[in-house]
Amino acid sequence: MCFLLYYLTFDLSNKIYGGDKMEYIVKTNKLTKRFIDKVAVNEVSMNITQGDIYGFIGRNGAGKTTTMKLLLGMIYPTSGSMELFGSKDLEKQRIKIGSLIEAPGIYKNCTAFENMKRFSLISGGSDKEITNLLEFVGLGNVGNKKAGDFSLGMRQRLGIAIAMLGNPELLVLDEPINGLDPAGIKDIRDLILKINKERKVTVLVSSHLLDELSKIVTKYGIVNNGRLVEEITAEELNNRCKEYLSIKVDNLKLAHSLLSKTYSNIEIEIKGEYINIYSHLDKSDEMNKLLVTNNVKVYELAFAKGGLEEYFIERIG
Amino acid sequence: MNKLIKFEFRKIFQQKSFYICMGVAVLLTLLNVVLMKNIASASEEIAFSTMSMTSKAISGSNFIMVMGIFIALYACDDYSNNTMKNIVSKGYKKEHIFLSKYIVSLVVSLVSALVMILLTYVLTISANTGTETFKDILPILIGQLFILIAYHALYFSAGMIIGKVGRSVAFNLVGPTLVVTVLTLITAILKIESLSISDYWIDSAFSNLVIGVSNDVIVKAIVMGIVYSIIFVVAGVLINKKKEA
Repeated sequence: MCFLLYYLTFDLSNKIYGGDKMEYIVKTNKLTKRFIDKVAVNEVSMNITQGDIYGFIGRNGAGKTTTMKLLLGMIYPTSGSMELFGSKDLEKQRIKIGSLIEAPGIYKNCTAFENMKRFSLISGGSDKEITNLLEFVGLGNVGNKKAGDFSLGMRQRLGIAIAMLGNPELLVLDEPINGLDPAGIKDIRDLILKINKERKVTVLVSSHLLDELSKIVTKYGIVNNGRLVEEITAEELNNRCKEYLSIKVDNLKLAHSLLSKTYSNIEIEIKGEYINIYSHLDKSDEMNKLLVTNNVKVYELAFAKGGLEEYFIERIG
Repeated sequence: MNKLIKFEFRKIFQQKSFYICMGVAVLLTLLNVVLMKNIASASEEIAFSTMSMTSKAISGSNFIMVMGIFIALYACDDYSNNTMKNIVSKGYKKEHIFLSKYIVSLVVSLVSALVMILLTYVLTISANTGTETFKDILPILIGQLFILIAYHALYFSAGMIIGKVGRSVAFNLVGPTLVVTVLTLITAILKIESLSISDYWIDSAFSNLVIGVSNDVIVKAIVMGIVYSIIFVVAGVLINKKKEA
C-alpha cells in the first residue's frame, strides 16, 4: 500500500515537474571562462526552470553576455560543465534554443522574409510559419523593404523572429531593449511576455533597465565580476524588498535626533530631503505626534517599498 | 551538414557579388581574346590558336584575381553581417560550417572556371590556326584545376580567418605574389643555385603549365595542388574553430 502511494506520488510529481532531469532547462556547474587578462565568468552555477522568464542582471562587463555565449556554444568554457534540457549532449540540444546576442544577426541586403527563409533552412520552419512569425512580431506588413533599412526596433523584432524559428523551447535574449525608445521597449517587453505565455517558451533575458525587467521577470540571476551573486524568484525578491517609512520634515537633524533618542535600536537614515525608517513601522502615528509636538514640521509621511534597483545595488555593493 | 550546404547554396546564388564577379570574369575573358587576336595579327611570331588560348583561359587571364575577390566577399559575409553567431548557436559545429562553406564555394569556383574555359574555346574556335588537339591540352587543364583548388583553399581559409572583407580582399590580391617575392629573396640570400624555392609555390606551378610542358611538371602541379589544399583547409579549420562566432 505504502509502495503504491509512493509510486503514485512520484508519478504525479514527475508529471507536474517533468522529472528532475527536465525540471531545469539550463543547469550550469561552476562554469568558468578565463581570458588572458581576466576571468569573465567565475564558477557560475545557475538553474533555469521550464516556464521561467529568467532576468540576468549585472553591471557592464559583469559576465552576462559571456555566460550566454557559453550556453550557446559561441565560446568554449575554461572549466565547469552545463546541462541543457537535462542532457550533456549540448550540440544536439542547442537546436531547441533561439537566441539574440548583442546586435541582431541579419542579412542587411535581404528582406525580412528572405532572412527568415535562409535561417529556416538551418533552424526549421515552413513558409507559412515564417509568415505567422513575422505577423507575431509585428513585421507582417514590411513587404520588400530591405532589413538594412529597418529601424533599430524593427531589427530587434526581426532578430527575435529569427530566434523563434523552429519553435525553440528556450529563448536567450541579450539586452533586447538596449537603445530602444519607450514605445519600442514596451513592444519588446510585451512580445517577450506573449512568447512566454502563448508559446510556452522559457526566456533568459539580460538588461540594464531593471525597472523594465522587473515587469516581466519570474526569476533573477544577479551577476557581479563574473560571479553569480544570487538567484532569487520575483516573489522572494518582493518579500525581501524592505518596507520603510519615509518622512519629509523641515529639520532633518532634529527629527533624526528625536526619533533616535525615543526609540531604541531604530533603523534610521537620512536620504536627501527624507528620513527613512526601517524598523518600528507600527509606531508611525506616535512618531508623527512626537515630531509635531517638538515643533518639527512634517510635510510628508508615507510607507514605501524598495525596488529591484535598490536590492541590486545592495547585493553587488 | 546537408542543411548547411542548402543554406550556403541559397546564399551564394542570391549574392550580388557572385553575379558581378562572374560578369567581370566574362568581360575580362572577352577582352583577353580580342587583345591576343590583335597582337597575333600584328606579329607573325605570336600564334593565335584555339588550344593555346583555351589552355590559358584560367592561368593567362585575371580569373584567379576575380575569384580571390569573390571568395573573400563570400567567406566574410557571415562575419560582416554578424550572422555567424545565429548558425553556431543552433548547435552546428564550427568545422561543419567551415566545410559546408568551403564545399559550396569550391563547386561554384570550379564551375565558373569550366565556364571560362568553354567560353574561351567558343570565342576562339572560328579563328583557329593551330594544329594542337583538345587531347594535348587536357592534362594541362587538369593540372591548372588542381592548382585552382589550392588557390581557392588559400583564399577561402584566409577569408574565414580574417573575417573582414577589406583585409581579406587585400590579402587575396597581394598575398600569393608576396610569397613568390619572399621565396625568391630567400633563394637569393641563401645563394641556392641548384634550386629555386619559389618553384614550389602555387603561383609558379600555375605559370609553368603551358602547351608542350612535360608530364613531370603536370604531375608536380597536381601533387602541389593536393598538398597545398590540404594544408590550407586543415589550417583554416583549426584556426577557425578557436575563433569566436
